[in-house]
Amino acid sequence: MLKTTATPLAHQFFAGLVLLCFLSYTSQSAFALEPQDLELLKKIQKDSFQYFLVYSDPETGLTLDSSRSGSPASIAATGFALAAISVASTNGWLSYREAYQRIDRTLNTLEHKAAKKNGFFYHFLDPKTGNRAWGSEVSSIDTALLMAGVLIAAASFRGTEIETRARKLYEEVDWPWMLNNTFLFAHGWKPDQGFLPYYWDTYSEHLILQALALGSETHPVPEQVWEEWERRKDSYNGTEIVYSYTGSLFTYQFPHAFIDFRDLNDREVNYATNSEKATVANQEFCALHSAEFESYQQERWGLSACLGPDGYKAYGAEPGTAYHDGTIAVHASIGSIVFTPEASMRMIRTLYDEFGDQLYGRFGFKGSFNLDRNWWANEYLAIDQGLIVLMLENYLHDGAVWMRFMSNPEIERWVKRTNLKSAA
Amino acid sequence: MKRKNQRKKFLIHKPFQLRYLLYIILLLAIFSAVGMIGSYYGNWASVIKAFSDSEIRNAVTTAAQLHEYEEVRRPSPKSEGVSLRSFRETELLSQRDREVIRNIMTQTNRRIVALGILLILLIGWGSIYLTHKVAGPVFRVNQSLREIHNGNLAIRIRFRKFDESQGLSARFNEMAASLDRSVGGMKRALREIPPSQATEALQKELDRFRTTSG
Repeated sequence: MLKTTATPLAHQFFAGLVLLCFLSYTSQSAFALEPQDLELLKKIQKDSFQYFLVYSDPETGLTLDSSRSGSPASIAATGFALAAISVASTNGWLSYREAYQRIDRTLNTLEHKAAKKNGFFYHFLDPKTGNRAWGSEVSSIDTALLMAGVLIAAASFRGTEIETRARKLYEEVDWPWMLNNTFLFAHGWKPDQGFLPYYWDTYSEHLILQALALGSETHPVPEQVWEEWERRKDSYNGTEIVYSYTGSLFTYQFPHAFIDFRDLNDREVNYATNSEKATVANQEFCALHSAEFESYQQERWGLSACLGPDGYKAYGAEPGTAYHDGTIAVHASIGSIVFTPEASMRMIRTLYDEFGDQLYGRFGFKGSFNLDRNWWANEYLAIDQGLIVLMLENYLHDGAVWMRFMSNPEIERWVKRTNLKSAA
Repeated sequence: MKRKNQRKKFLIHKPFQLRYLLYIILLLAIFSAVGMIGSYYGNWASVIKAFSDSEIRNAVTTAAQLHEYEEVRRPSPKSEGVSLRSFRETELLSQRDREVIRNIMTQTNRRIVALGILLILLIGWGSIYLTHKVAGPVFRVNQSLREIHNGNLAIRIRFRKFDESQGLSARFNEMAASLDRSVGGMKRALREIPPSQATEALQKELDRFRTTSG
């Protein structure tokens, strides 16, 4: 009898615990979406994904940096494509077989054709041949973004040949080489110049590079590398933020598309909370300057690197250099949806309803606009498209990309080596 | 010193040799022309495409954008002047041009190798076809002579329609027919005529032949 009464109680307790864990895990998705908003987000995600089908070379699988004619392929774009294809497979936009074949083609190119050195790839490649293009550098951050996509593919196709080959590609990257005998990662290397005289020395999007290099079993970097870069702090409206040099939102978003920082604390800093604060600061900064720029009126916001009337600029807010001219990056508000869901949804709805005619196209939202100069971007950038697909996946499917990425043993090794304790 | 077997006359069968000279020159001219025209238009098509107005426009835009990417990634407190920016973009463009030319050269080399292999195969096939017109009759005559040597005087030959030396087969057949008739006549004389008359008939027939033993 005792046994029969205790079991339902235990079940109820266990079910309650699971529910609590689930609610806690999805707390950032707790803001209730209106059904039409949910449909809109799904549409944006699916449309944005189409970019990777159309602008990836059918033979090599290398993805063009931009929809603009004459654009080279970019390895960061290809990394986002690998991750986006994995997402498409789980969402039913691509069959398992087609997704597998597409990833197989890309991996084959990365293994045998794409120009590389010590496992690092050249930033821009000829999409047809995989040869180095535009005299580009062997790039540390772009290789990291590529490898992040490679590991998402590995986690999405576990137990298959793709997982083995993807992991091998990652294991071939000689991360310590890019340190150039320092404890900071160089931006890159060129055959005729050697290492570029720039290093990832302050907080920025390079957290993804750090995670992958510290987690490597075959070519690990010393733990001191994690300590070496500077965590500059400044306050905006009374909130202290570890900030990036330009204050561009993409620096607070790119690593977060893959890494779930919510349960990771770097001493007293939680980078998920930090990005949320930086996003709020970005919104407040735009509100503060709304009298100067029509673009920022009616709670419009989103300062991040994007094309503007005067070319591609690192637009950003304070804290940071905060260069801005009224140009709003559309991907910035969508990419922030995991940090500030309500504000992001309001912005997305405004953009779609008010400016959809000018901004929304076959592949979702185009990059940016500037109302003050009546300027509208006319092209799509692959990394922005990738960010949109992955961040919406994390938001709409309870951290689906995060779960896959964090399940890789390499990432667990990074967390352990850097002592990023559980927030709990 | 004159060599004993040196040829005194190279054109021993003028129409035949001149015809073959023409065949070979035509064959080589056609294949060389195909090769030259193919690689000329292949190269120029690539060059014209790579340096068309729209491609140059695209390249200039891309150079500017890639330079801006670098500026975003490696921001500097001081903004660089217009001339420095132009210099950097021009540098990028010239790098790109070098890559384009290198790609065209690589593709051209590959095309030439592929075309060379194709031409060798075609010339090989053409040579076999041409030599077969001569080698076929020689082979047939050789075979038939062996038959005659073995005593088969009933052998006759016929060349293919486009084989060379059609007259040779007629002359060979005439010779074989003549021998056939002579030997046949001698055999008939031995079989059908009384021995005293047969010797005379054989003698008369054999007198037609000149031999080394008289």
